[in-house]
Amino acid sequence: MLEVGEERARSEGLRRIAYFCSYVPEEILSVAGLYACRMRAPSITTTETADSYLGVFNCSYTRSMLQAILGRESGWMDGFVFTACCDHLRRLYDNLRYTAKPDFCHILGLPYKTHDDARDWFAEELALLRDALVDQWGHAMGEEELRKAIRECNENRRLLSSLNELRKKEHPPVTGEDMQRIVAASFSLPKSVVTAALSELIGQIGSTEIDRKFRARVLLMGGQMDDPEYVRVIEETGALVVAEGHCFGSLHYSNPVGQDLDPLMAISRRYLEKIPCPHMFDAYAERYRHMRETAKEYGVQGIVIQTMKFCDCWGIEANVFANNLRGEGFPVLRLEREYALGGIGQLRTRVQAFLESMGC
Amino acid sequence: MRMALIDRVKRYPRAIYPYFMIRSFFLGLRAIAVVGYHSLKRAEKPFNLNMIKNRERNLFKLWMEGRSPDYQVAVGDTLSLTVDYFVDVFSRIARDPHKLVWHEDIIPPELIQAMDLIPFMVEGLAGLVPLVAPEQTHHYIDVAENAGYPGDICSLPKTALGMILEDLLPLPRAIVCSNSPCDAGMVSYLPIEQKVKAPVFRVEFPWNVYEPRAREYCLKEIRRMIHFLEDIAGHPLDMDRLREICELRNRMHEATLELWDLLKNKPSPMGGILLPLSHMAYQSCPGTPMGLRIIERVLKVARANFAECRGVVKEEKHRAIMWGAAPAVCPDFFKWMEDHYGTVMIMEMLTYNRHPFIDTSCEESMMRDLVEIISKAPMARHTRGPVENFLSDLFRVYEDFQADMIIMGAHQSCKNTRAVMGILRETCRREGIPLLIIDHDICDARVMSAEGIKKQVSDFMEAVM
Repeated sequence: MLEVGEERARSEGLRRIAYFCSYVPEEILSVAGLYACRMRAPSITTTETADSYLGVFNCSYTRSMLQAILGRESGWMDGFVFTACCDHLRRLYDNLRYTAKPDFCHILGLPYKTHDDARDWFAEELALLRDALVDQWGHAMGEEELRKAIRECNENRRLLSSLNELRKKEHPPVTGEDMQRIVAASFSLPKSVVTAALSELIGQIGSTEIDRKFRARVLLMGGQMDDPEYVRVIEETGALVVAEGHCFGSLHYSNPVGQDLDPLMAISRRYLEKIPCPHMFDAYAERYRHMRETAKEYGVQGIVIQTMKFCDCWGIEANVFANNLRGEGFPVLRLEREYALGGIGQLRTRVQAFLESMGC
Repeated sequence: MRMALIDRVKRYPRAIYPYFMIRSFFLGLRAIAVVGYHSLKRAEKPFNLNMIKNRERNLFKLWMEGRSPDYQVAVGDTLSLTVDYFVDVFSRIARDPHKLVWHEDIIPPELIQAMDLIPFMVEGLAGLVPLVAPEQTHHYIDVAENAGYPGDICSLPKTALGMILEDLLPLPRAIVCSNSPCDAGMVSYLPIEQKVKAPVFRVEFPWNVYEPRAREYCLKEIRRMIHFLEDIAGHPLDMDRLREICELRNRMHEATLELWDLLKNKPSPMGGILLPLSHMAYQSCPGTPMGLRIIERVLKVARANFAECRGVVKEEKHRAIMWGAAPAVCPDFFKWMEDHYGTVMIMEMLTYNRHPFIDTSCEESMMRDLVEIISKAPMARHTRGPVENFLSDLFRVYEDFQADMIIMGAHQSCKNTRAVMGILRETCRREGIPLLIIDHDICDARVMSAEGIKKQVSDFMEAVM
């Protein structure tokens, strides 16, 4: 589907704008002949070139992205949009500008709070992004175009959320790996392509169930996690990932954009008020409440917290999460990982031991 | 009277170091007595003043030996500032424990002071431990890591966290922190908050503080912080007191600018460890007579040297800028550079506080200028915003101070600065600027020992300079 979708986008002359964070508004990158593509680099296994610019102590997601772009393994990209959401991505922005010198590279000053001033600030940042895109390619990006993009993105979110709802069933129709693949495709293709495919998929699998038996239902949360193969290894041990709490899962597609406000303000509100990631440093309680409620709603028996090595935000917060969740009686497994899948045997052993510790 | 005593002691150079040691010892005794007295009065157990157990190094001796009497007195005075600061803070905490407010290093203490609360910079103590007790630092780092925090986060907040997890610090009434300068520092206040269970206000600085809209945004955030502190204090901010503090701070800044002008001369009349030590006056007690005295003491030495065309080292061979984190695990680093290579450290990143004078004519102007100082503090303006912020400041200093080399302290777990080393290396190469990037960890000597750091410098000095 990815290849077909990309081919179609290319044949329609759409410009592909890569972004790296769930706080980049897909709506603004989905108008005027553009489409948003959440940057992944599943083929990258080593990062020698990137390491000579970014430090080896930077997270391997950012190093892999730089490596993929410099080595032209990321496919065609017409521009890049960042948020200033963590030290690593901020410096990826600097290094990308310095090394690859892309035609279009923009960073959004993302607020860390959600009060009125923050919403106004972010709406202004969005206006700056819109103006930069218009200046770059000269397409019209008026209120109507934005409203249309908002409707399309909302529809995409609605479909992903409906599919996610089906995972609450005792015998869900999709595995965690399947869902991860669907979400990855959804964030990488034009919304029109994805929406049609998702509608069809939900129609087909709505009343089915997966044909494997699982030992335990788990919630997979933590930092950047765009690798279906990683989920596959977890599920091979008998765990079934029924819910996600990371920015490449429901944290990205929950909460629609309101349609009754000025479009930029509505987008600003949606992104700042969605389930927050740890860069929203005043919102731990909200984040925790969401994870706990999700675990209960989806009938989760254990929680796996995976974090990317060298990620300061999740590195520290994961420990606080684990302590608090364990305090409430949730079995918790903490895993540290690199962007490229490795140490499969070790991962499998740890998940197996976790399942056994839960009596599953 | 104290100045007269110092002037007498100065005539006997071998007596200077013992004088400051004995003075500090008695100040420590006074603090113990004050803390004990007030705790007894409230029938409470006194908090443990011996937070840095097993002091392994004597900084007075390390930084003063072999120096001119004036330099020794200046070092002694600036070091005594640290002792005075802790004695003063602990005595005040003993009297009014409900007034204690912990603040992160980027949040300066002026506003907290003006509210008659007691500011205490958590990272300040954590930064001091590796200088005097490296083994103890390792212990605190291990405490944090054994509690589940990652080995790769910055060792400075991790040392602070370890000390807090061990219940070594007197508990605060409130905490003020921010999202600057880095993610590790920012997020470390979450476990701290959960451990001490005190209300926290988190100040948000926009990504690029040089952006025209950022000033207004920061101002609103600082006003929110003031409201939070007013609720804690139970009374409004005392503007007259704040004005006094700002005026004293302006005098400190005036003296600092004169000092910098002197540093631009060849040979440099001042440099080395006195620079970061004088910077501590801004960190711990800005806008206080103590802070002003420190800067003026350093300035006096520089003026005297300049008047006699005397450099801070006998033969100045190189002039270096220290950027990034200076290696705290190697406390004699600056002196060693001077003694072995005639290299004077004429400026370093944290000392380069390019803040404006504070316009004290009205509340609004004071707030605006304070916000300017807070949001554009060293590190805050370097680690946030585009890389141009980091580089332009460095190269400006390099030219203004007529340096001939840059030493970049590449603290291994500072993800932010490590990530610009490639750009810095290539830029320096293009510009023909000798650059030494030192791999080290700011607090953890197990990552890179003092000897390892010196070896990196020696290789560079012999091969490049």
